Amino acid sequence: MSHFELVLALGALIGVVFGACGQLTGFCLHRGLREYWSGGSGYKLQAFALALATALLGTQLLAGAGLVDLSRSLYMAPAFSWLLLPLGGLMFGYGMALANGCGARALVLLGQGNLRSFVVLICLGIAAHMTLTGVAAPLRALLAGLTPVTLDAGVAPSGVFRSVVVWAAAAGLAWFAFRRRPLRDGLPDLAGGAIIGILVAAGWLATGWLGADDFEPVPVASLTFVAPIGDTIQYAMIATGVSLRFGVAVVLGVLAGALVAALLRGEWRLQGFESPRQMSRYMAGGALMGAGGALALGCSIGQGLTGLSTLAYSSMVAALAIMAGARLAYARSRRFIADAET
Amino acid sequence: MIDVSSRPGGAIMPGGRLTTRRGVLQAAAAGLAALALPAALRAQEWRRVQALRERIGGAAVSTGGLSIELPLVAEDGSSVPVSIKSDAAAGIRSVELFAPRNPTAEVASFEFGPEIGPLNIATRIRLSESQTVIALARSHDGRLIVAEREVRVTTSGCIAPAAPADGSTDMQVRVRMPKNWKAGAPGEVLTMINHPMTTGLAQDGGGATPPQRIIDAFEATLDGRPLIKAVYHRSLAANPYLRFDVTPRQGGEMRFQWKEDTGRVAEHQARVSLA
Repeated sequence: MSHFELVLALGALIGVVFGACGQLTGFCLHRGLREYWSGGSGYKLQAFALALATALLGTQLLAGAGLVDLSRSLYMAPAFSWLLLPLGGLMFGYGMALANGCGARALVLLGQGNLRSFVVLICLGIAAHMTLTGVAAPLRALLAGLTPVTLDAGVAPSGVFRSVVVWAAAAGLAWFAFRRRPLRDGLPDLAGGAIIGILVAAGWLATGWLGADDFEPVPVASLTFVAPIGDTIQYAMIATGVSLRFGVAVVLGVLAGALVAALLRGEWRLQGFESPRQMSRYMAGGALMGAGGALALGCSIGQGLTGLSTLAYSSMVAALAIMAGARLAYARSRRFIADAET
Repeated sequence: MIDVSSRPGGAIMPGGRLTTRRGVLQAAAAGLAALALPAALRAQEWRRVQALRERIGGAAVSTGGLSIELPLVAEDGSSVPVSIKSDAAAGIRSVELFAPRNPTAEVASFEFGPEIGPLNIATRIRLSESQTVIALARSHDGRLIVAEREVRVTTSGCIAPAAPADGSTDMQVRVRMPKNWKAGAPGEVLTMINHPMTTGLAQDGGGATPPQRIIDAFEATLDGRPLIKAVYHRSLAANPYLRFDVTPRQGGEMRFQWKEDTGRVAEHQARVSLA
């Protein structure tokens, strides 16, 4: 087995576990935020916080041990656009609220038969590639060139200070996750969150350690679901001419994992749209997530877990913007939309 | 790919009509026959390229004995793997590589010593758009051979911004070669140098256009005998990579040298001892 095949196999496995976990526990940042803001009683946001804590600890331990060179990842580049990064995050967060869940959630839902998610994923993937490499790419490059900001370093300083930050942040997140009582009710959600955090670290290990090679390294990355969803659509169309990549293997794994979990639990059910109005809302949500995620270099998972696990400043900006976008949509929905279509 | 419909006789057979079942079948059969034509008859793109016509002049050109391999679809135009092989009996003396639709058509040229053979080299190039990449080879007995390959580029190599200014690892080199060489058997040598290969065409993140700064020459020798002499242009991908097969006649010191267009030089050497 070449190192490429090894990385793909591990990517598919990570995807399967992610898909099964998501199907079993309903892991979802969007639902967590809505529950939290509306004072609900769920554990979804707690699960996301625990996922972030384990992702952060796991990833920083791998980097500290010298196994994974995070500086070769997308998130650690010291230069980004002060306009496009937060704007993309806002668009992604707003789109996530319109489509009732992020791209990763849509993959899990499609695996259990939700065809609304199929439409969301198509819109997301195409909008992402239009922004990254298609008709909107020259405009993106132009705006990025007009609004650059370059930091001295892309991340918090290394050494003792970094360790203190990592442990303090992980402890704070864990405290937030375990604070809510009764704890027993939240155990499945929290376990799912912890596993997904470990998967983020496993993804870094797959690409950064197994995929390392002096001459043909695999790009260092982990879980993210904007470009890879577009890549998967593209792969379906031109597979004879391109080779499979880590992100596509993860996406296919998530679909398979969610499908198997839904079938085993008897929860596989075809679902579609109830009205054209609902359909247009989901389509707009998917397109906003695709374009926004492309500008923000990631989604709620890609920046919210994977990016933040590197402690990159740009990921903090993007993750905050994603939450702000979701909050904006939440406030608007409270005012305008009777909250029926969930 | 091949446009079957534009080929005479490819779409509809004489007397056949596409509206009848038989007509459709005949047309399909003719289409398949067109697909099965020898590659040599289809591959003619190089005749349209000015730079190649100048080099070839009136000389005879053959298309056998040389092959160029690229992915059918390049997802990252800023680094597209390309390999060139030949089983020509006389051996290959030089190869020039062209990407006619790039801002600069010339990508790289190589001259080989007699210990390079059978020819098997690989590198990575930049492609600004979908196009046909062409290799022009001269054998030791003076024949000209052309090979070409059409590539669909989904992400232009020109959309990636010029690399950021941090050049702390520039000019670091890596070489990997077999530990145990066998007399008469080819061994694979991999070489790479860290370098942004700044084209002078792309803007960096700050909106400025840094001037061209590239590795423009590479040389490998074995105990003073030349193995490869390469000239690189700006269409060669960042971190210039070259893999080649060597069949050493005698062991000795293999030396590698890379030159930047500013005059900076990086060197590496390794011992080859035949078993």
